[in-house]
Amino acid sequence: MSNIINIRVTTEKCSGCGLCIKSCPFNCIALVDGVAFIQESCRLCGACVSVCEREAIVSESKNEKTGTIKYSGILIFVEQRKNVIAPVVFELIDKGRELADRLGEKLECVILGKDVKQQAEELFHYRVDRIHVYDSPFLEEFRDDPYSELLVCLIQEIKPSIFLLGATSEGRSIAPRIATRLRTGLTADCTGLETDSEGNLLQTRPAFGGNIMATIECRNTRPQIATVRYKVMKKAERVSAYKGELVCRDFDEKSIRNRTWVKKVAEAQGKGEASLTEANIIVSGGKGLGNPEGFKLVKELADVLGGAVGASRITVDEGWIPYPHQVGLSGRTVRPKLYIACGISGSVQHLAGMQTSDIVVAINKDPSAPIFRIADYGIVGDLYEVIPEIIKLVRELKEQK
Amino acid sequence: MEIIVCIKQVPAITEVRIDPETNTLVREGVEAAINPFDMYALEEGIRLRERYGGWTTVMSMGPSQAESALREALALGVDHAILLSDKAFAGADTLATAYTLACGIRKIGVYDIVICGLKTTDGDTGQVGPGLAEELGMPHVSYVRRIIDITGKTLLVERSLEDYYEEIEAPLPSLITVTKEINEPRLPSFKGKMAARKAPIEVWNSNDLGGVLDRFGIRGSPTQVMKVFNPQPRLKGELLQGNPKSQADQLVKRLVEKRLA
Amino acid sequence: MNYNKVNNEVLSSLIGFIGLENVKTDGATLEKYSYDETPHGLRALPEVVLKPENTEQVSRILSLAEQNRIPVTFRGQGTGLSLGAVPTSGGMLVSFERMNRILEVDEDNLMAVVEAGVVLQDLRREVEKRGLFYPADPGERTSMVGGNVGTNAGGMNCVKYGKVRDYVLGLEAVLPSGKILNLGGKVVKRSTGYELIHLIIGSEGTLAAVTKVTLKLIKLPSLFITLYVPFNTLQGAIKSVSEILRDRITPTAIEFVERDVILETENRIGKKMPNHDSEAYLIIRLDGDNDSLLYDEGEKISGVCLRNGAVDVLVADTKESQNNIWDIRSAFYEGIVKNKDVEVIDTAVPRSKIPEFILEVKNISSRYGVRILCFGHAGDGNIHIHPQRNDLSVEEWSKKLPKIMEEVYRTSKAYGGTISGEHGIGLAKKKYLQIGLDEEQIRIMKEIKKIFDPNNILNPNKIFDIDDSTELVR
Repeated sequence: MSNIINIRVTTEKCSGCGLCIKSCPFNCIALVDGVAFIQESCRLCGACVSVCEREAIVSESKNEKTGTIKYSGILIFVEQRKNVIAPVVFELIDKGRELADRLGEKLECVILGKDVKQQAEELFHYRVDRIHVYDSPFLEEFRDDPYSELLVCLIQEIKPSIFLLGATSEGRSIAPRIATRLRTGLTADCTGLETDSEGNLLQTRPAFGGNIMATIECRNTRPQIATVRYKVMKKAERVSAYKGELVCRDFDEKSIRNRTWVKKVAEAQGKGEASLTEANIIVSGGKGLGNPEGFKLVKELADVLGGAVGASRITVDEGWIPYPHQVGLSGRTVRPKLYIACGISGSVQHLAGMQTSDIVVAINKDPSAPIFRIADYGIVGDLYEVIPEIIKLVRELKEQK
Repeated sequence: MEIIVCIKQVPAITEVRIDPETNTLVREGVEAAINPFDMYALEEGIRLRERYGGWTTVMSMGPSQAESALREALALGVDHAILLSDKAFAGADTLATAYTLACGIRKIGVYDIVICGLKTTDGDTGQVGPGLAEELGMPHVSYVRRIIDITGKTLLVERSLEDYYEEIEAPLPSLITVTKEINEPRLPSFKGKMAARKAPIEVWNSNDLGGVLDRFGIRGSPTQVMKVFNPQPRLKGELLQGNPKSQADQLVKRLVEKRLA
Repeated sequence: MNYNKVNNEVLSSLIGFIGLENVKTDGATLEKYSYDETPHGLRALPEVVLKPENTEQVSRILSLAEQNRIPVTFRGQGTGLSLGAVPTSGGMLVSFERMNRILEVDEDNLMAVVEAGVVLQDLRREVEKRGLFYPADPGERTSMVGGNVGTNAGGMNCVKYGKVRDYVLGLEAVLPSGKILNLGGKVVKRSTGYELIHLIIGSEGTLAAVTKVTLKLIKLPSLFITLYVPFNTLQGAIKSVSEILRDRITPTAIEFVERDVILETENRIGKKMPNHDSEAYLIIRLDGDNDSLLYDEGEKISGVCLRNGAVDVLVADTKESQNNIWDIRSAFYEGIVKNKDVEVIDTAVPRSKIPEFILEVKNISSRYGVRILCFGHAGDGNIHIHPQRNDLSVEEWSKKLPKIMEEVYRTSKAYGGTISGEHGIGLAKKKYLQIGLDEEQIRIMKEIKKIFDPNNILNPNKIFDIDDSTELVR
């Protein structure tokens, strides 16, 4: 399979068996006069080509691989705020190292900010070959214009074959600008990165809220850019010494475009309150709480477990809890070690935001709630009876220690 | 003030359900609707016109069926609707989509602000907005949760990043992508709805747009979907039996085993 | 009336009939089955809660009760508003929660056969999957079919589709003797003797236990739109309703509501209506299969409303936006009643009289200095009237309330109306029965009761007292 530009059915070969109809994730194949007919809505994914036992479905590909040879190396954007490196970066580095070793290429990082050299040097402990540092007061705050501009310049100069960013707010904001400027492919929110036999990056990401997985390639342009979900990949291990090269990069502030200005910054959450995307444990509440007061119990459980509070869309829409707590397709995607869903039925949209959590616990009155289908531990019961018991037991445990 | 809102028609995600037996999406009877995040963009586009005067245009790239989404936007109070539709646009990834929309917006010519929804519920990339800004050579502010003010040639907005908010000042024209916090979308008036049912929708094809044919649709898309598959289902879980106390007890034991409590 | 208690011997027979796990005598369960949703309603504990699984078991329970002279109260989901399912005489409470099977959706005859404990929203979902529609829609969609039959429930769609009675074609019912009656069936027409089905519908569990129901279904309309119309005056809203109906337009539902009801409901459940700044609102649903006919109707309605001072006419045509409006509508009752001292009056008047009737109710409100909130099914004349205690002292309230209720009922009667449109009489409205019905009618009803239930064990003292022990307001 390669870059498909057309799919057609050789009607003489088609037996009308219908295998392709079942295989089509976009529901656009029908039987017309006993043979498969591909409708206009075809998304050229090629799923039908491989299932056809009679090779009656053929795809046409374009083949114009040009100019990808000069590109080499894996570049990683080191996101930092207030000189703290975003945790997703260490996962990118681990994956980047793996890809670099497999491809026999270098692993490079780029960090932008003010007084970030020390952070940059620390990264050598994670087996990075070269680190590019843009250190300037001008870069203290994240702004789309200068960040994307400098990254574009760097990429044009060092020509990496792969450029990875975290699928964070920042990453998702600048990556499209960079990809557009470089006229290359960008895949959002990847959960898997592999390479094919030709060294192309196979980027796997969830679509339709995680109900379908798609593998995407960018064969003819470079670099291949991807934003990668946090907490999906392994974190890199720290090694005591690794010999890498630090490149401090000067630039002329005046020549760098900047059009937006940060006027004020406010923290979204109170001190001590665990943030949702970072939290290892999340306790979420849904409609089954019955009323806004129910979140007090959810918070209490989250507090004894040292976790953060999440919520289903409906509770946010009903104003029981602010939007930043929302988990799901239209809220945040989380992947904690432990996710406890309290009174959440588990709509497709909610599952999309949390079904990759390591352990899912569901507490719900309704035994037919879809959440139980993905839960590792299910408790059918009244959350107002069960949760206080859990809180009590965890408190007792703590006191024993 | 000249306002352009970009929208997409998507399968109404609230309708999407999983068949518990086959574990696949149930698609029967799934309605098409305006991408939910774009409803906030439309509402904001209409409110800006109400506040600052001017003209709000809605633009969408899609098949001819997407006309119904544009009519919905007209019913809500948008002044003008343009559909970018051409066989050549089919199979576009985010890069080609941004390029096509940019050609359309350039053809309109005059604009102070372009508003996009945060992301679509089908593709879920959030890439078209910032990409479009880059194509148009204008700045963008993503994740906007509030437009604080627009004065002269400056836009002041509040954006919501991972765990903090920022107040950002940007010049006009700018592009913003908006979150659901920004407003509560209105219902259309019946009068607006009736007018929208009859209103002409302007359709522009690749010839109308000009632009480089090789940058539209599948030809202009560097990424291709190679394979689509169902995610691995999670292993079957364990239902904890007994009264609440015993259920809690079993759970906490298991969490302790996994070092989670 | 002297009844016997549920003794150990009776209990062990019951356990023999339906199994230990379905015979509950623990305090928490008895408490849970001691009330319905009537605001500040009376509570009364049953002696035992029974959860039979089939008609046979119901039959054995009833004949045991009859032999031992033990009162029996039937209960669906407990969402009633007139204390009908409250076991005021103790005894056995039979809950139909386990008889919740949809036995058949007959697509050839457009009928469904269901057990009494089927929850309304489950039934609707099931038939809608097949392109069919069960239109009877009491606001409370978690209620059970059996309970709906007991009160002849109505709801929002009556203006076009009628009430539960219009959809019941067959009933399986159990008499105190344990005999099982099979009434009606899958025939659409029948002219064969007295129609006992219609005696049992609306009898609030005083004549027989309803165990199975055969319901008529209709084709599910393919299109629905909802108009949401703010008005600056209540009168403008009400007047529009009569004009719409006079224009020969029949919407699926026409609901009217005052702003304060919306605000209190929004506060209660956290959802927001598309607009809540005007004095009064009409919420109108249209259905059909032809898009342009539907919008033509909408246009006519829009014209009527705007002529009568509507501020605007908003339209919801997506499933989501319509569901939002109707979900809030369904919660009006909860919104204004929960945590407050409120009475629920369920009068119905001829539709043309609604404007005068409501004006009269507002007069009563100001005469007594008691706030009265109204909403209801304007399309069918069924108006829910809610006097609220607010700052009144409990003493003052208990003095004024009965007078207000009596006046409202008499006003309704004077306009050719009735004292309950859809909630039933139960216990809560019993003493006002004679305002609604004359003596001769009540006498016949009592005689009928004696034929069905000679020992008066089925839901005794509901609707009326067989021995006239309650003093009626005459």
